[in-house]
Amino acid sequence: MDEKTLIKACSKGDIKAQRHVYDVYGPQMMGLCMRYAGNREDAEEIFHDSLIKVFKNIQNFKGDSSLKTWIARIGINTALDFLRKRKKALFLGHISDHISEIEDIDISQEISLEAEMAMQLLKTMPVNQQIIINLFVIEEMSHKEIAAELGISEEASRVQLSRAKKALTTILNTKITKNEHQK
Amino acid sequence: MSTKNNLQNALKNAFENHEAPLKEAQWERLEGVLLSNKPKRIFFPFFFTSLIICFTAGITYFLTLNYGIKNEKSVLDSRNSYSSQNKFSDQSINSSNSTSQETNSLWNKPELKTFTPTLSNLNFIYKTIKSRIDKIIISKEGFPIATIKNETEKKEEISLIESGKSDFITEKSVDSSKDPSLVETIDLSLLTANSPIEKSSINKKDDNPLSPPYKPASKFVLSLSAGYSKMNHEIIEIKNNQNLHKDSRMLFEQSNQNPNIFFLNLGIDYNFLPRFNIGFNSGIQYLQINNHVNIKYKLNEIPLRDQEKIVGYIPLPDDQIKELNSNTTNTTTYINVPLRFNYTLPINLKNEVLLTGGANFSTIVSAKGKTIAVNEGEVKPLDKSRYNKFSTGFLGGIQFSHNLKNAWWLGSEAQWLSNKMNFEVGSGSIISKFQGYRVNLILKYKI
Repeated sequence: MDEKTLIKACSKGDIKAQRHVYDVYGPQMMGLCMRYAGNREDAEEIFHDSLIKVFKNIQNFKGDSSLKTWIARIGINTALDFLRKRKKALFLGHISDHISEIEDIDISQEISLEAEMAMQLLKTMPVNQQIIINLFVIEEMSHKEIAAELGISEEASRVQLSRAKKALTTILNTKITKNEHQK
Repeated sequence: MSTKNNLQNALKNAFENHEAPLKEAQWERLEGVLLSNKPKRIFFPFFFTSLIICFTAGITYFLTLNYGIKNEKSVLDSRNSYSSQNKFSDQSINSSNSTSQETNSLWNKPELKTFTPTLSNLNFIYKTIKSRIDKIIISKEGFPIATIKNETEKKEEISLIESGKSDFITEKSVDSSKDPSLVETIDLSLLTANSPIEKSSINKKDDNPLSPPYKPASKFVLSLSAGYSKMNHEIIEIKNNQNLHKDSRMLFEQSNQNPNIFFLNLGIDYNFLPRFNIGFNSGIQYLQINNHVNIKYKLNEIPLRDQEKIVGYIPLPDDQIKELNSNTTNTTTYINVPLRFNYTLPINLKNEVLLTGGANFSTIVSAKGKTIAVNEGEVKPLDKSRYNKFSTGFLGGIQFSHNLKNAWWLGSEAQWLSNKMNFEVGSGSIISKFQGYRVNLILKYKI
């Protein structure tokens, strides 16, 4: 079934077509939800709400991007809405965000991370930093876009990213050093 | 060595095409919501009915058009027939020696028998008399049999008719016949009372001799129908889906596949607007649904519940796996009462098309058989308490009827109907649309 036919069938409420979308795009969507939510229970909630929105609005999909990108975009928006509602203090603590904090920091060498490990690393960070990492690194959004999306300043976005990178670099550099010592 | 973006690349690659496994319960939850949000096709039946109406109206229009031409032709034929008859009459009865035997032979002429007296025909006869006939001998049924020429009487008769003192054929004109045994008098009021012409239409003064004969619709029609039906359940919602075993839906679908349906319908039509051919139909219908079920189900997981809500399933050890088998015929019977409007499109005097549409009210009478109650983990007898006591739906269709003899009509009907049903399973219920089409054979008696 091609994408256009699939979209048409879904917009008519064809349950088989909806199941097809669920099977094809669901696992990646669930992965996305896991990245933002940090736990399975919340991720399932976001996933559920996202797909309801997808099927409710699929007739408005114009085809400017791929269906996969469009669905992922709905997933991100739903996840952010969910986190805003559940964790109201999420983006309130930016008064201390200062541009002088920003450091160009990175890990000492190229490494390859398993998704599971990357997920564990994300979980070690505060939720707002997890979100910035997701939006900036994974979704490749600019600070301007992130600022607009989250209702914060661009500086705040940069500071949060810098803090997140710093924390992750520390952890990973320690692991890398430990690994080198073991060798 | 550039260390730029090592961290970003590592994270990005880690989550590139990252997928997380899905649980079937997630789909079931989603499906429950999607089915309940599914756009209701409430307008579909109306669209369907409109389509049928347009289609039938189109066909009927062309048939009627054709009939109009045929009718005009038949009136013209009647004229010709009448003229030829007059010629015959002129030759045979325009003498004082005419006998009743001759009259009978005229009476037996097939073209005379097909001459049906209507107001239009009488009008035509009147005009003909004025122009060329002295006097008409007419049967009690109003068939013109012969004419008698007599200039004096002709003038007298025409003056009587024109002054309104004559009812077309007067006693006087009959009395003046040289052989009274040949002639029958005709009283216009008697004629109208015994003929199929409605008094109202006579009072209307139909001046068009080509008008088709008007036959009003019967006020009441009794009908008996039975036939073939192809219907199926379409699940539209699962109530408390989170409380039901994940196989509830599948088992319901398997238990209700391709039912055999028998029905018998006693109906009554009341034409409350006969002039517009609009009526109302109701009646009582016995409906029996038979489902042959042959399911061998292995219960190898039991639900893990948080209070009522199912949060997971626990696999059963092999020695505890239950087999829930059902090989039986489930029978449910219903009494239906349709309430619908109908519109009659007459094709001609012998054939008509009826368009019907309205509501259907149904109540369950009995339910027999077995059901795999997966939520209870056992096979249970099927009981009518599992079904909703009353259900409502829509039905619409198209009917073609042909006049067999007198008031008896035989017809066939194609119907589409849909009823909302509710089937209790565990602590939830499956709501379905029981819908499909029927083809009925109908015997009707018009009162």
